[in-house]
Amino acid sequence: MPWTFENGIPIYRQLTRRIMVLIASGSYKPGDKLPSVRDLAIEAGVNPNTMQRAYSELEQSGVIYTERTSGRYVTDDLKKLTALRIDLSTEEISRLYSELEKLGLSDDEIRKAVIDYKRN
Amino acid sequence: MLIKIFKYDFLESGRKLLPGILAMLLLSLAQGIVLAYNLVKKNAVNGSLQIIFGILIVVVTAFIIGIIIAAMIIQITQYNSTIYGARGHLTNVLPVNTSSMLGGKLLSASLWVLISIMVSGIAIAIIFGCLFLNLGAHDQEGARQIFSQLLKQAREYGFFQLFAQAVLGTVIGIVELVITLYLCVSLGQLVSKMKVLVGIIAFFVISFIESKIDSLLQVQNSFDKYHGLVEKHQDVSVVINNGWSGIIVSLAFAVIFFFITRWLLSRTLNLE
Amino acid sequence: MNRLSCTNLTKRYGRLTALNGITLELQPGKIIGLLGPNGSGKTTFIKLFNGLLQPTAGELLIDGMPIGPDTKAEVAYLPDNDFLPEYMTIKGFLDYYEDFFKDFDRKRAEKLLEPLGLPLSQKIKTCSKGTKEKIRLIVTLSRRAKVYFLDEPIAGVDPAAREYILKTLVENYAEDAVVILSTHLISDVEPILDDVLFIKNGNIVLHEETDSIRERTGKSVDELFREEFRC
Repeated sequence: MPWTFENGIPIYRQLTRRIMVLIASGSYKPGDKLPSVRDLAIEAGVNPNTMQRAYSELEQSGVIYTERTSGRYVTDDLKKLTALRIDLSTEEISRLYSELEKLGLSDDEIRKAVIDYKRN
Repeated sequence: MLIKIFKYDFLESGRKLLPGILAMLLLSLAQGIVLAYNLVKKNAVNGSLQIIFGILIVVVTAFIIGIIIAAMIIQITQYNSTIYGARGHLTNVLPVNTSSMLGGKLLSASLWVLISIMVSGIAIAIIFGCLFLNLGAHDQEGARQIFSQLLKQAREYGFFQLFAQAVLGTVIGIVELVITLYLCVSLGQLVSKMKVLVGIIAFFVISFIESKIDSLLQVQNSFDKYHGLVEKHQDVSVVINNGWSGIIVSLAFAVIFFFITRWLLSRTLNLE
Repeated sequence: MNRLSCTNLTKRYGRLTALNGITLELQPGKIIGLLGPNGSGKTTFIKLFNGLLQPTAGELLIDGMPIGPDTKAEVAYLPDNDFLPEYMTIKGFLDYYEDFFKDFDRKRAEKLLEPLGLPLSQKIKTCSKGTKEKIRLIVTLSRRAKVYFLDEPIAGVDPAAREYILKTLVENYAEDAVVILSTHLISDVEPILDDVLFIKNGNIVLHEETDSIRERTGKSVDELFREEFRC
């Protein structure tokens, strides 16, 4: 099944994020070989050029690296991966935070709601 | 590329025409057997057999004439459907130049019309051959004598030359007829409605113009002239020379129509 | 060298103008969406580049060559109708196609035909409508062409078939080719398009990268299209 995409954001950026999530969540482990641009493009239902762009971005951010003859791999650098996890979760938290603020909750109320949620 | 176009068009027509040709030959054979064994007279009292024999003659005649007409109609419809129909989206994107496309189709179509005429001839020969077998010894001898007299006359009057010329003329005439039919189809395709009507009118107009030009160039039908000359015991070479000019005029028309049709195909094609 | 180019390309039918002086240059290696409503000139544009129509004015070139047998040898065309010879068997048609198109990858076509489960000796006229569509798609995409034209490949086709078509396209097209995909159903094809061309009443009103559009407008191409072509 092809992946689904949001409207206002360039697809390559959404692909970058998707793959980052897959890496952060352990679907692709440190040192794992990533599918080729073409194969992943076909799976995602996107243009290979767009997928290429996503891979380039990921490489620039240091999350993946290219081995000249054999392909692309997830970095072994655990510090990088931890930083990635923190970045992605910070994004999610800020999104959650602004949604809850919109609903009128104060900072304290938000913190309490999260703890209560986990308890129940 | 021309040969490839020829090959596939030839096979495509063959699939449509061969069953008819086979049927015609079988029926002619059947008719021949009826004649050779004198089945009609032998079964004179059997009413239903007589009816069957009667139907057979009609059907065989219809097939012999019909196969030639069918060959021509098949060529017209095949040209029309493969170039201007849904198939046109395949035919016209083949990496073949227009001359080869038209030339290949023309060759294939002409060959099939020629084949249909020859096969009809074979069918007639079978029937007459069987008729001959059925004659009594006296009649057969009489037929042989008439035949050898005709041969003698033919040799004296240079009939063989005329015959060879007639064969060549027929072949070129077939090619000219087919390219004329193609031209008329393409002319019909220039309009959006009543394409068939326009094509038919075009055919009559072109034939009319051709005959006018023929008489202008004093090209007469060789057969008529030969007939008149034999009566006057004149030299047949006049007829033969006249025959050549007829063939050249026919060829010229064929070439002109080829170029016009080619122009129509490359400049005015407008699918759907 | 521009893979595909035209200058002031115009096509008129009497008083009706189908294409109004289009000038365009397209480079290889891209999948390009030719997007517009019905009657906007998409099919006219495609037919002109395939030599099925002659322009009223203007010039058009593929790989720097005018349209003719040489360009036809490099162009793969999937029209919106059934061009298959009914009387041929599937094998017979593959033979025919291979005979004329040097860039036809027969092994690839046979491999793509396998899942359909058809014996190669089957006559085309006995195949279902959906099967014939797949055969046409497969033979076209099995050509290692320099330009592919797909005219409304997903119109009138169920969602599963749409997915199959787009997947087969991305998997099989020759990657240094230009693919021009015309459609009025944009949301399905948007993820695979590099660039888009909006065509309206015979004019190109937009020529931009998909991602650039999303970045610039904050909308999807589909949303932008609906706005642009709102009656």
